[in-house]
Amino acid sequence: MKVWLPVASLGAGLVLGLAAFTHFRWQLPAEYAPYLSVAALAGLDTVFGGIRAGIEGRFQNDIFASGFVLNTLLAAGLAWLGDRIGVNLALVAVLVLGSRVFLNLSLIRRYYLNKRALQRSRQQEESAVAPATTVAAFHHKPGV
Amino acid sequence: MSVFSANINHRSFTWQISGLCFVLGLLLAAAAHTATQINRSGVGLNRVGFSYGSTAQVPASKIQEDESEIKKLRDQNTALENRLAERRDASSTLNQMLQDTKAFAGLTDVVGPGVQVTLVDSQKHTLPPTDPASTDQIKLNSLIHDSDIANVVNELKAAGAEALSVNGQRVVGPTPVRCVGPVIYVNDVPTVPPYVISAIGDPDALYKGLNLPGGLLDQFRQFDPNMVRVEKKSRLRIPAFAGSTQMHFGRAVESSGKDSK
Repeated sequence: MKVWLPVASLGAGLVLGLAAFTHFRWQLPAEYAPYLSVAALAGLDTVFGGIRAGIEGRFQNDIFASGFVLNTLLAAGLAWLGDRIGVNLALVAVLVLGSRVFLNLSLIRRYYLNKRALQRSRQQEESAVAPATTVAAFHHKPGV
Repeated sequence: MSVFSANINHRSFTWQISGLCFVLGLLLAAAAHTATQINRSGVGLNRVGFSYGSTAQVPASKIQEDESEIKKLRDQNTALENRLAERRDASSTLNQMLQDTKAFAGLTDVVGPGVQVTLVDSQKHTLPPTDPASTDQIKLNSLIHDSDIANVVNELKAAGAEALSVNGQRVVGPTPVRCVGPVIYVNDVPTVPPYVISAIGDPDALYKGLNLPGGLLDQFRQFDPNMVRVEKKSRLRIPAFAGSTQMHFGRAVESSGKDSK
């Protein structure tokens, strides 16, 4: 998988965003900071969810894109509503989204570890077979 | 295992994830930038204290100019009153009463024995923290707050102080002590540490009142002994109140009984 592509575009977005903010001296009201943070966390959750879905082979771009937009809005809206009614609903969003990020990350990690383990066992099978055959046969083995 | 080993076409979703990663980067940049702005402005989200536009708009030099003008006029007034008193006995008595009242109200300079309390912010928060969880608490305790100064002033009054000043600002009846961001305003004049509180009164009584076991200053000393210094002084000079004495709403009742409804 081209791991570098999402990472590079994330970095590009970060750098571009920070540069734009400092260059144009944009200022967002300080009251929006918590909502923005929760929205960013929701975006993070959607991206990891998308990667996991892709790995599991059930990636659908409409679900992914709508999830990104709606989840960020919902998380920020929930935090805003919480502030209005005096209950810290931002904590709910942080808890749920944070645990989902961890879950997705662990599944992604497991997938890659499994893949590596699979490759290694395949190699071991081959090397276990190798002594039985002649040295010459080992040299021109069929394509792996 | 079948799910994991399935042959997946990565290209289909890598691009889309990359696209949204870019948007996520922008979002994170906005969040990070806003958070840094809040930190840099010195006023945390959960810190009490906000700036008042009206106090910030008057330059400090203008205030000082006005105050020296007021002081000059008041001194002239006192001199004139004294000269008037030289003429007749009755007006001399009247003048004496007037000067006593002015001294009580804090409109004249006062000299006498007393104590001087110096409060400084603790340097403890600059040390490497032993416990990261208590960093905020240490920061909070390291600072001298407006309430601390107000409490010391109150304690000195309780111990019998007759005249008080904070960093050269005379404390009178309407004197507010209030923090706006990083500075503390006394008489609407900004002051910064070290806060020197001078009090005229019985030096021993004032000293003991401040150093009651478990009292106000003990709380500072428990955190950091360097935050507080109390000195007895045989002679202190406390300046007159330099602010406005004009009353806009109240007026003196001319005689008791009349106008008291």
